[in-house]
Amino acid sequence: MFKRIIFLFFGFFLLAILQISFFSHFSILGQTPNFILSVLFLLVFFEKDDETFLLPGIFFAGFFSDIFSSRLLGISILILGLDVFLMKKVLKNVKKQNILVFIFLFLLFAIFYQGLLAVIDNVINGFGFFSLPEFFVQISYTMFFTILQFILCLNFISRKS
Amino acid sequence: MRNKKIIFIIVFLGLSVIALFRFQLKNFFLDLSQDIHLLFKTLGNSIANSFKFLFRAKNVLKDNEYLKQENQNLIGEIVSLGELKKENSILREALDLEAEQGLKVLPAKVVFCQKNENYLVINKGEKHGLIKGMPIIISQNILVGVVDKVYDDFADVVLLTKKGSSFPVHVQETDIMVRARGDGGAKLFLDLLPREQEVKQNDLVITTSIDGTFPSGLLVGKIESVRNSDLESYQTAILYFTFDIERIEDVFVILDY
Repeated sequence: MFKRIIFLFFGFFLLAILQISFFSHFSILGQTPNFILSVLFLLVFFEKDDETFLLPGIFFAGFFSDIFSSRLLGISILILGLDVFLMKKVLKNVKKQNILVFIFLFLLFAIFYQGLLAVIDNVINGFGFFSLPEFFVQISYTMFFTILQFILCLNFISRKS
Repeated sequence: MRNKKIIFIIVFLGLSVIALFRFQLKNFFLDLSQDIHLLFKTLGNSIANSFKFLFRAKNVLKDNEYLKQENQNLIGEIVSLGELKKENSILREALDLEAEQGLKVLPAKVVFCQKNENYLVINKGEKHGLIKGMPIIISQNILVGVVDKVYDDFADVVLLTKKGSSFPVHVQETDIMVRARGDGGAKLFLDLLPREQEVKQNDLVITTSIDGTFPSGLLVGKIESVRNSDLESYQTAILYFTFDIERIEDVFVILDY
């Protein structure tokens, strides 16, 4: 169990640095993919039976999102926690699990997170600049990588079984 | 079930620790990640340059000629170039700034930049004498932003474009003094330009020390366009920056002016 928690810790740590320092060179309209969000969603989507790692996952994902941003430490943990909680409720009522369902659910998950963050950035922190095109570019860019990871996960699971 | 309870307790404790030690935690993880940021940044930069090269295949021959020429010019210099020389030139630049402008500056490196949030992190902090509000410039006296939060070894810098930022500026070679305003996007705005005042594209906009926020004479940007409407009693100028914030590696903190 602790091995996996440590893996989650370093995984999210490296993902946060990757999206800030590496992908800043591949930005589209100044937007970079949010790998933390996509990996957390995959964790929520595929870890249905074993939820033990979701809480540490949310914690590390939010923590490293905030460490490398100017936000108050802890805000992303709370938003991601709420987002995952709602997504879990939705997932319980979803019967089919194909790529279209996956894309639709990821869109819900990402729009909720980015939207709430944008509201907080504008209202509380006052540093936000909300631009709808940029908002959708970031979600689409993130979704592209999430779909790739989804396919990889499916391959991995089918090989394992 | 028992595991879940333990994890809940750990998360709750974690949140409490975060709230209590947020400055120390941020400093620790910035310190821990500093070299990885540099590694990823260098790697990203070289891969991005390779991609750019591929996309510009049409101009390869032209580029090749240019590079050959440039290569000849640079061969003599390459031998002696290195990190030491770079550091040396940064320090010399800092000394020049001090001598020419009477500014006391401290060189710093950018750890990473979050353009979306109008924010970057530099590798100098409280230990090096930084305090909130100190101006940050790059070479040629170009203003970038101001120090915001200060940690032991690092500091957050907010860019001039941050939403709500407002400071007095002077349009060079005119007697116009107005306030520049950031809206959180990529541009700065001069909102209250009197209609009778003529400003042209590419006019330089510099700081003025009228309210003590910045020393005078630092370059803020150039005028990109002017919006002029008959319905309004003022005109608005939009500024653009002469640098790309994501490409900046070295900055100077103005400690005293």
